Amino acid sequence: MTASLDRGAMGPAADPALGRALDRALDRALGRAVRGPGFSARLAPRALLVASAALAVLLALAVASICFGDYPLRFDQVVDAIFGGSGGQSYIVQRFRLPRAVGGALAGALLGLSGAVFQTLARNVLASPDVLGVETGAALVTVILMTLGLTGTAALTGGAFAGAAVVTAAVYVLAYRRGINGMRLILVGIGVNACVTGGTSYVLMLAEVHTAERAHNWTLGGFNGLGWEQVAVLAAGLAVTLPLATGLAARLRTLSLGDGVARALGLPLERSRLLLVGTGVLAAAASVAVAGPVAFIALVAPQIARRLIGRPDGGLVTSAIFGALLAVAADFAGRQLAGDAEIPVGIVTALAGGPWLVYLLMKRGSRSTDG
Amino acid sequence: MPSRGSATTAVSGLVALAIAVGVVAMLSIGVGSRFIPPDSVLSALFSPGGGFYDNVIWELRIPRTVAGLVIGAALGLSGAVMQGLTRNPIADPGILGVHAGAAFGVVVAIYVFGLLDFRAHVGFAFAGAALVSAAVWLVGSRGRDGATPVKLALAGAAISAFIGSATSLVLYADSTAFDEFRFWSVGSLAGAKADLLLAAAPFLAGGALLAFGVIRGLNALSMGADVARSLGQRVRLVRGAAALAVVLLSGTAVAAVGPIGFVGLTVPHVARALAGPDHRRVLPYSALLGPLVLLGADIVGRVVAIPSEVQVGAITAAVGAPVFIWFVRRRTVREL
Repeated sequence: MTASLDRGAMGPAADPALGRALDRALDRALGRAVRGPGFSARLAPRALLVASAALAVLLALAVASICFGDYPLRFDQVVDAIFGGSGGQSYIVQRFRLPRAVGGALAGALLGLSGAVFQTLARNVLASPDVLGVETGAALVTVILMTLGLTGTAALTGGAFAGAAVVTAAVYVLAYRRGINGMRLILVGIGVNACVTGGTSYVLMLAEVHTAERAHNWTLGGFNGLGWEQVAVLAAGLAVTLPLATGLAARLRTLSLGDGVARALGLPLERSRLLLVGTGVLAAAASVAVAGPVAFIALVAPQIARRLIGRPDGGLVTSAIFGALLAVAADFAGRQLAGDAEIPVGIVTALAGGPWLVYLLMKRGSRSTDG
Repeated sequence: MPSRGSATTAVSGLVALAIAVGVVAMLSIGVGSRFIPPDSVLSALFSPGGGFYDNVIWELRIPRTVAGLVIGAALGLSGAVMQGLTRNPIADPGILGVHAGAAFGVVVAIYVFGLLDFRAHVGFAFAGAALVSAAVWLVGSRGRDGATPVKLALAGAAISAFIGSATSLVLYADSTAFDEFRFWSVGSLAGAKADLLLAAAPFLAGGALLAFGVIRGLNALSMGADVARSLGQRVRLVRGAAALAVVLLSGTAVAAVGPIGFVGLTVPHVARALAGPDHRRVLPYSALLGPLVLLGADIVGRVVAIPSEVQVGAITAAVGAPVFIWFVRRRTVREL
């Protein structure tokens, strides 16, 4: 739905030729318009194609990650085990590998969605929930809770979520000065993150060594312990934030045209921004609270979506699918690369994502980075 | 605010600061989990051998205080040079990746080479800091507009994240390395010993000499590279020497006592507020303000949680981050 961008909202074009040219440009950018009585939507064949191809790859990767492991399974055994079946194989699949694959995909999807919201909102490909402190906030609270001996799943998930929300809110409030500016938000985020990370290392140092090690491992992110309870929390997070975000998509797209245009089109700027930031943080915090911080997915997934679809906003749903794909792929790689041991998924994504970010910075070096 | 023009006010400001540093150093010798009265401090300093506290003072308090003085001066100087070099008010060795690089160097020393000796860490931390800050500089200075503040900060964040995850990978694999590393990573003066300071001294002295050597160049650079060139400065040489000074000073400081954030960021701002923008004054002021801040923070850390203590790195982060945010908020974004 792109009501705010359609011709009606842009005002009647004085020149019919200009109007037709505008229509054609919009069709190219956003897909062919389909209008009926009381509704209008755009169909973008390329976006649909990319999204379904990504879904297919995601499915294949998930099946592969269920097949391979310390105890390899054939494809037909996996299918048997998923749809009923009993005995050791179905126990392995239903108790461990399936929730891990599904949970990892959901966690990645939440991050991809969150990243898409932030990047479009800040009009800056470098904006992501990490910068706002979602990860460091969650890590600080989790490390404190673990040090105090509170290791129940509910306490940790709730605490991590609260930490993410509080630190992000602090960054938002501190960066607010007659409105929100994308670059100031990022810089304030860097400062707050440095402070919170300092707190985390301090607590890690106070803790007894085994506790400290477990807490530190949590901060690396991992899908290792995911069970159906955690999958349910992640699914609930996606069920809340995906409709919210797609419902706000029209506002998001208008905001991405710049404050001046958005204001001229009658959009309440600060309120829309707050709603969108809230949705993005909710998505990222749900993911981080359950699966730990998995770096860079929120940054990279929307950019892949954008490049493949070939339009300025990658599309929220497509970004979420690519987030899921990246998470499952990184988890799979982390389990396969190190032989007997396994590399936490957050380390795999950071090792792969850091160079990507550097590449982006070098490519846009000649342009201004003001958002 | 004193008049910024007169040389005598600058000198008297320096003398006042030096006296303040002396007072803080005395406090640092006397204050701790056990308070030592001033007369015992003086007698231990000037006629050692007789007093009850001599051992504590000479074995623990004095090395720690000297470390605070030397490292504080190094952090203050490196921050001032870094900000002059990048013409960037938010430049800080930590933000530009020196800490992440040094941490990686230390982890490599512990894990790959099995070195648990502090003096060995210094070299590795230093090499890591040098490599990473060079990489950040290369990435952040691409493009026509050169090394803008925002580009450098973002390049620092990206490369720090990458190096940090490599560090995490090693820590994940090796419990011994993790246990060593978590104490190093907070940043503390408590472990400073005389031999460590001796190992760090040549690097710090070299860095300080270089820093004071490029003062003229930094003053010229503050008017822009083109003006500096027309004033006869060899811009590349100045930039290279200044960057080397920063890496020598802050890299060695991190290696010796762990990452201590925000001192290098905030001290030069105070120095400029007191002494004006001329680097001939900013550098000496920063070299005295650095120890004042670092030792002050260390003393606070010793007394806030008696009988245990809070590491100085945690104190400076807790105080420094708000100052950083205040700077970011104070300016319009384009000025940054």
